[in-house]
Amino acid sequence: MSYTAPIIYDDAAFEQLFKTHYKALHVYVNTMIRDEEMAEEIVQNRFMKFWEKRELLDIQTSVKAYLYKCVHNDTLNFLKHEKVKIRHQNFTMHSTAESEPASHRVELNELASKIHGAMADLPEQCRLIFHMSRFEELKYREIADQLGLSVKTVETQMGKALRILRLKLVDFLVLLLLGVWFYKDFLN
Amino acid sequence: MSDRDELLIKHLLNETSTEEDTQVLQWIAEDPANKEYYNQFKKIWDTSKALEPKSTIDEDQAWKNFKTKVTPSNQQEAKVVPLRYKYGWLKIAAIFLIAAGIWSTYRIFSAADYISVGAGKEVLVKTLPDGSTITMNRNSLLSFASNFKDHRAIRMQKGEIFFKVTPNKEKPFIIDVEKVKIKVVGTSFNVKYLNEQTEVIVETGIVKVSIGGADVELRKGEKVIVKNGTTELKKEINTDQLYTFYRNRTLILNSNPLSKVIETLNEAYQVNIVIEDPRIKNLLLTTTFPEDSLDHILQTICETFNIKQVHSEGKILLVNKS
Repeated sequence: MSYTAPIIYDDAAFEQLFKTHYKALHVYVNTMIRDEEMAEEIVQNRFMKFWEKRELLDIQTSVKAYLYKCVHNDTLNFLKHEKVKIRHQNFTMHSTAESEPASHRVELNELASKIHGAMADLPEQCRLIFHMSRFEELKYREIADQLGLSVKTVETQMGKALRILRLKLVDFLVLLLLGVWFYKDFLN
Repeated sequence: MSDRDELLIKHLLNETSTEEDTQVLQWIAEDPANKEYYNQFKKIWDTSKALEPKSTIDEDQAWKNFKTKVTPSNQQEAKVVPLRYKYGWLKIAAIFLIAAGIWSTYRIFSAADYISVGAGKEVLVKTLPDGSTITMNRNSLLSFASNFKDHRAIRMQKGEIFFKVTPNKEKPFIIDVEKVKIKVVGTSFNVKYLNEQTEVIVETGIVKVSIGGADVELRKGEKVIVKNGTTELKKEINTDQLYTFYRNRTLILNSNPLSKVIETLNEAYQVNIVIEDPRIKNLLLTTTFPEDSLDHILQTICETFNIKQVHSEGKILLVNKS
């Protein structure tokens, strides 16, 4: 499934494409916005766009890399619009996530939500590789093959991802590791 | 720095070789700060696992939903909106094309199109589009080209017709009677096509009559009779004015035998006058009957020759009084 020569997506091929990647893309978008329904809508819409121009669909890179890149951009656009919407609604006190229905969200501990927030600032390729490594639990070799990249690139991107996350969380982590957290709990 | 980070992450993810493992473990052991640095990565890595969304998505169901969304909207777009606009113009274009097609077809075939004119029980005078006048005896039938001004062509099917042709040297006036072709430029003449023979009598000008390869030119007072199935053209001198009767309503007799006069009357009045006595048949008559009824004409004839008419079974018999 590495490099794919440009192929014409007839109905059967399109169904194959859809079923192969739909769930993984949904998971990916969901990690970004933590809203299953919205994530599904984003992925559906993205496939809709592919469907409309499937005669023209000429994917030069790996199909997977292309699909992830597309939904990543879609999601960023979505988040941008959400922010604008919220600003208009004067929800200045609440973050995007907090304004969403609680039922759609999974309760996270504080570090996890901070990691989630920090992940949002990862560059696209960086984030995707981190996602594939962490959540799809793929080896470097597999990621490289699927995205049509070299193993070295995957290595570099993984190093970059963790370094960025660490830098954003380092203050919190220091406190955490020093046990301040427990102290705080004790005070409560 | 970044190389070290990459190595640490590789180690964390079990991507390292044994050699690299040793290297990492050695570095961690060197300094507690190093150990803490590594642990921060490990903490992030381990904790982030909790962020993994559990997707309850069923691909097949999602595909079905997707298909229902895509299929009707696709049809709507394809059938209702853009197609209607597209074919709307195409329809208009098609109408013009069809109209142009019909018109040009009409133009092409109209060249060979003929308009029929028939005289019924009355003598008919008609002016043709080029200004020529024709006088058609009863039961005559002809057709003329619909673009007659450009193409002065006439087909004469039957009867007797007097033509007075408007002169036009560039456009000859042509009459087809069976296989006989009559070609004139501007003259007047009588054509009679009855009983399988064609008779042309010229009143003014020159008339060219042809059949097959042969042709003959007729001038005033000349006539030609062509029997069907022959190609013989024999010019004769016309001796009677009987042929003008249907046209002028004046029967001009100039030493015509009674049998000929009766023939003309039979044709003109659609009656059946019979002369059985051969002595009467050849009596010669010279007179003029202006616009007269058959009864009066017959009465005059009878008085002149001292004969009598006997009506029986739709026939009129002319017999000797004695």
